[in-house]
Amino acid sequence: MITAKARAVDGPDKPFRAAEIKRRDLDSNDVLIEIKFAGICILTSIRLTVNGEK
Amino acid sequence: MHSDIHTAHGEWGEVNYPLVPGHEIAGVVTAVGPDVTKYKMGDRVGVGCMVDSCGECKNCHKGEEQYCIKGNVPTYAGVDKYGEPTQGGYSTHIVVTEDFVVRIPDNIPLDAAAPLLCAGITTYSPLNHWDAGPEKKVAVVGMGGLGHMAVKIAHAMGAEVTVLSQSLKKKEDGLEFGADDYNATSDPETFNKLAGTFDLIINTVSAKIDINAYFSLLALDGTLVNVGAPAEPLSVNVFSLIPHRRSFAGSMIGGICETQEMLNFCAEHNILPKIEVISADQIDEAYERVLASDVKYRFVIDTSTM
Repeated sequence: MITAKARAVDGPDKPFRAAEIKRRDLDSNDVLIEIKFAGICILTSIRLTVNGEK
Repeated sequence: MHSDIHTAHGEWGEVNYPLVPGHEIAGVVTAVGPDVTKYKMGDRVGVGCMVDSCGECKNCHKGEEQYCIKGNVPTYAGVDKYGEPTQGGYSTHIVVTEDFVVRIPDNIPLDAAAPLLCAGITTYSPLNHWDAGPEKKVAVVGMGGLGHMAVKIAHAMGAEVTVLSQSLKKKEDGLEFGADDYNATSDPETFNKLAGTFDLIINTVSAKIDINAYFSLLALDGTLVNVGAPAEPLSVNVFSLIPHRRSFAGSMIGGICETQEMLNFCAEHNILPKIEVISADQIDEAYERVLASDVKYRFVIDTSTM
């Protein structure tokens, strides 16, 4: 198993914390990627709801 | 679209915790399995919203793995073929079968490449499917992470692009991204002025909006495509569709082959998302800022800060 550093949440509305996760050993067609950047996917509905807009 | 925010906040049903979100992944190959043929160490690659599919159904055979009849395996909060929960890209490493990895062209920086893997393909796919291009009038509803990509891509495809946003606050940005026109949906005159105008409307808003008002903006045979995913049902008045043979559709990300095509298209047309790079310790703050609409237009985590 490959160990990776990560940021995880433990439940809804919980803050992110540092975590270590396991990645599977490479299968014959697998690629191991060293992640450089990860985008935060934004959902418009929550933004609008929080802003009290329709 | 599938959202880190929704999932991290547990609003889309049952989720296994702890959970590592993230489906806009850009990085470098550091090892390959013995049968890998497409990638080698050092290649710049990306992973989007899915990491596997059945590979056998008719949709997978068509290259529409996102619509796999057995269900694709989402990059996080899913279960892989080994029965293990999947964990996403807020992480230093990931292992993915090569068929669900895409190549990032040399002239796209890795930080800007990341949002293309969800926001980019989610907007490119319907624009491509419904033939956005010269002589076509396209409207983009909402000017967030998805909306700003939709404007850039539709403009590069040659369409005449109009933004329909709540206010005119981001008008300058919208015009810079390639919009030809920019209108506030808070102004009722917008709906009078633009009635019957558009061949295609891409709705990136995931809130419950008066969808019938937007149908009225479609021309003959026009289509409104939802890529935003409101939690509540929308009220459709069929009489706003019938008179001009209008269609109401949905679209979810894109296939792997189409995702590669999108990356190549963005490279060719110098289309990059507008991003703000943050450290791992700023994720909570970034979520808060997203909730407050205080982001232009996508946060990207520098995973070297993990």
